[in-house]
Amino acid sequence: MSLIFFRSSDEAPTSQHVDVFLEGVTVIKATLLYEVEEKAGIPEGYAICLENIRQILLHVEGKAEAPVATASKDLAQEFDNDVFEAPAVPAVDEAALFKTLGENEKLFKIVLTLDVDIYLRGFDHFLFFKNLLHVSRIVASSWSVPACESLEAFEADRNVIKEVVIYCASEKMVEDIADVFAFLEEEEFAISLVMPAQKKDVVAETLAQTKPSLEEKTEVKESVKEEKNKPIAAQTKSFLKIDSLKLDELFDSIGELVIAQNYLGENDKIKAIRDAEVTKTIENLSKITKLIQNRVMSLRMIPIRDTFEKMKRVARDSSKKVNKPIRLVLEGEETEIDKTMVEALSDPLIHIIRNSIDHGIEASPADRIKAGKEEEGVVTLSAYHRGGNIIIEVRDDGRGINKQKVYQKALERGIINANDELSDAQIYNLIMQPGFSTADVISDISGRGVGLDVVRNAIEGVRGKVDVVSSEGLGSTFSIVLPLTLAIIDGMIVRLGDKIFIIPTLSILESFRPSQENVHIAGGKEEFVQLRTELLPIVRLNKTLELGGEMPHPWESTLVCIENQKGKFALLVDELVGRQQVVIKTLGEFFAQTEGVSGGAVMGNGEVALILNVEELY
Amino acid sequence: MEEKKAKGVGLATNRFLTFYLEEEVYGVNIFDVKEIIAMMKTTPVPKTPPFIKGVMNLRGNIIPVVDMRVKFDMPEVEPQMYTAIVIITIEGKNIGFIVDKVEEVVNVENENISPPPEFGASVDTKFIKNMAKQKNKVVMILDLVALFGEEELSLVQNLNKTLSDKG
Repeated sequence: MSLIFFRSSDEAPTSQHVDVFLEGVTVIKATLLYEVEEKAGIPEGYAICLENIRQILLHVEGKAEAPVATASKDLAQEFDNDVFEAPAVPAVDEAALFKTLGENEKLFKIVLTLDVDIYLRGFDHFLFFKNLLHVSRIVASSWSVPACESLEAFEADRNVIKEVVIYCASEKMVEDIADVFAFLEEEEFAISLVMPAQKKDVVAETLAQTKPSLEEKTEVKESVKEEKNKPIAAQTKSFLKIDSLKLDELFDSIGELVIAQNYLGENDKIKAIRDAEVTKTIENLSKITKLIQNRVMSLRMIPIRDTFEKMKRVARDSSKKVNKPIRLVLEGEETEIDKTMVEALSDPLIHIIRNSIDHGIEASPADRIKAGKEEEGVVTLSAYHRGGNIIIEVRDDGRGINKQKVYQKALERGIINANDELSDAQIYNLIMQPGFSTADVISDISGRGVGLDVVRNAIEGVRGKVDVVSSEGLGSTFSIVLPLTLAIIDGMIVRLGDKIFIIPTLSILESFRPSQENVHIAGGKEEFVQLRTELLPIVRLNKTLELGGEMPHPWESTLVCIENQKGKFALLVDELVGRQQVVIKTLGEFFAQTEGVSGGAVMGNGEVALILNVEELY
Repeated sequence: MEEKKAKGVGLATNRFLTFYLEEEVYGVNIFDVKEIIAMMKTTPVPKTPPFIKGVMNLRGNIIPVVDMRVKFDMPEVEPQMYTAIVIITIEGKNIGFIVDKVEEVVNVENENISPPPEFGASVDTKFIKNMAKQKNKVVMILDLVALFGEEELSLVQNLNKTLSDKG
């Protein structure tokens, strides 16, 4: 308090005063230690120090001092007896407080206006402070203490502290903090979240102006003993490196938790209880579970944006080196992809992009203009989900792959035999064979023999696949197909007989029930359905998956219009059950590649539902 | 685990988990057994051999489940009270085996273990690693890799082949 005086007045503190303050700090430390160790009593020197401070106050304010407080007096009384003329609550510099906040911590302002009978009701300020410490870190508080009444008028069981303003930092929500004050009447406390932008008029006594350590502790002494003596250093944003295996384990446990929670929520016996408390608790549980699930899920998934952004630089550098103007177009950067995959992707992508720029794009802008293209070569990098996979494409609008040349080179290098019959796709994939290079001149960035086979190996290392498609004169596309090991998809749940399957919603265009006249049968076997102007083949799921069972008429079941790489088709199922976010899990190595099925997902009831691979259904 | 194993070898004993299929007693090395759970619902996977009952959810992990009866050409039966799934770890992968009844964990002395007979068992002897004499019973010790590994691995290889042909 005396500090406040010095801060607010022009009078310079003498060295004697400073000594007292420092001593005060020492005493506070000792007191706090006592508090921490839960020792009874007050350290020696406490009374002397208190007296010294009081003397200073007396001196500066020139007022008659109330009878000296004894060391055994409780703190509340101490306050009551203190001579302190502070009609209004001293303002606290909120901006300064923000600097002390750790990551995720929010600053709350709590105004306590406790009634006079608060002690009789069994509470006191310190109780609340203590409880508050469980949920938050108190950074500052200011007390509005009225001028002292005469000792005769003083009643120990009457609260005279009108208003207390507490600033505390916490990661919790307002509700959690409000819980501390649950025993108070609503009008007795007010909690508000302080926003960083909100700056109050900075009054002379700001917290930031004096030495923080000294001031902090003095402040503490004057307000609460409970405040823990912990350093409030500005915490920097910190990151943790976690073994992804641990995350996987956590993820599995969360999965179990979700299932257990669903079981609780859907259990008829529990539903029969019909108790508001129980229902509320279960709802709360479900909310928390979802929150945890989402957070854990998001831990592993990161958008591919960063990797893509890195490619801009790669494209720029390569374009400079080979002296070709290049424009890199990014698409689908927000596609989320497993962290481990991102790491594995970076190098192959760099390689492919360099390759596209060096070999794919025509040697000079003049060549491009001759071919009727714009001067600038365009390399498109795109990412998207398809058929339960993540596909990353590097597309260039260059000259394409010369099949003949590739074939000849492969022959020369003994990669293939002269009598091998190769499809176009196989020829294109030759460029990813070890030791393959068609470049006549070795350039700085590619053609050094460390070829695209490195790319293929890297991608296969994360159980992905690389495909090359090219049309001469128009450009080539490298597609990296990555499995979703831990990706979440939005799935449509369909029923077929007594079985449940999941179709990735992304590949579903629509679903409908056809009228009988729109269904056509060709050759007595193949079924087609007319959907507006299109004629779609009907794929019976139970036939494709060899499940057997009944063969209902298409007009008595539901058709799901699905698009895959080869085109559209209508999948015949019994009914649509619902839509749900599911976590794709592989079925294990033993049938990782079962045709028509890309994985499984654990449903709410704990059973496994299979996720259909729409690419393989038709 | 490793320590225990070493100890077991040192005492010249072998510990097996025994279980019943029909009237016959089979054993698997206890160190390969992860856990035993009660029969639970499995989801059939299309286009897989009939002995693969399907997949199940083991605390968030999807693992394959093999019906041992079907594998050994025994008639399939509805799950009974004692029907259990023995979760076994083969080459780091968990696989569930449906058995009629789990019996006990037995210690078998080395001298009581003999090579499999040429004939006599109702099961193809290539799946049987050893025969173990235990009290008045004979326990057929299964070779898990041969049992599940071989056929399945070739299945996986075939699939990979067809895939690379396609690609």
